[in-house]
Amino acid sequence: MRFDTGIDHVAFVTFDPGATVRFYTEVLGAELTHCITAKGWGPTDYPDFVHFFFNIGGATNLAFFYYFGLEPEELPETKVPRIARHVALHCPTMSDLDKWTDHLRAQGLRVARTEHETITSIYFKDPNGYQLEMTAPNRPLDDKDVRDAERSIEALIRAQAEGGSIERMWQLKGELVEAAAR
Amino acid sequence: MKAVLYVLKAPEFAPIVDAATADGADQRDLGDYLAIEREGEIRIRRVDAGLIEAVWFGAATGGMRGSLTQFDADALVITAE
Repeated sequence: MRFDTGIDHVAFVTFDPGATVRFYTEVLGAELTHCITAKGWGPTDYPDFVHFFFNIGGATNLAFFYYFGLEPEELPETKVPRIARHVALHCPTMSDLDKWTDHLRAQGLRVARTEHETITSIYFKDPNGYQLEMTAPNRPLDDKDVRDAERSIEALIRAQAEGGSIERMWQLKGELVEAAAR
Repeated sequence: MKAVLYVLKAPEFAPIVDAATADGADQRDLGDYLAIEREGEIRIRRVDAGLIEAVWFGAATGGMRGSLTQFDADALVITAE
């Protein structure tokens, strides 16, 4: 098999989601397309996180993790698992992902599969131990996802300014959702 | 006072709405979201929602009103303030 469908996303850790969003949307003109927020599902020491995506053309995205409680002086390389900084290859369909799963396993690789909110991914390691992800969409993203991501980021920036937790972020998000519906 | 959980109208989050309303919570339409409301507290057990991990641990992504008194692998409980 030949992999030829490009990169879905490359992910990094951020300590300043506000500046990150401003840079990628205003300087680079990329669109904020999706934002995942989760409590208790991240690395052991930093289980509460926000994971957001900017589309930079075609199926390719730049992604960032914000971990509640992780300070900038704590290098993410040492404090969070390597999975936080990773490259995800793009599969157009679930059928493609299934074929690659079978192919990689047939080559003797250990392949783990996880269904996420809007994508399904497989994870495996290259010979250097670098984590690779390969991912296919569960459904297309739409304008509603974009608006939701913008509200999540606004809530995150406000919560971060207060020194708040993911709980506080979700409370602020609720206020934004109520205000938008008025 | 009511506890409120806001749920984006996306297929992956629909089981949260179903589980909460089956337990007696009310729904209010807010455009992109459904507001799930209940006097006192909203309690959703993961086993009732039947959600995959990735969606379960992000179940409050749409926002909420109240305090998180429990959110772990078993249940999400939002208590009115």
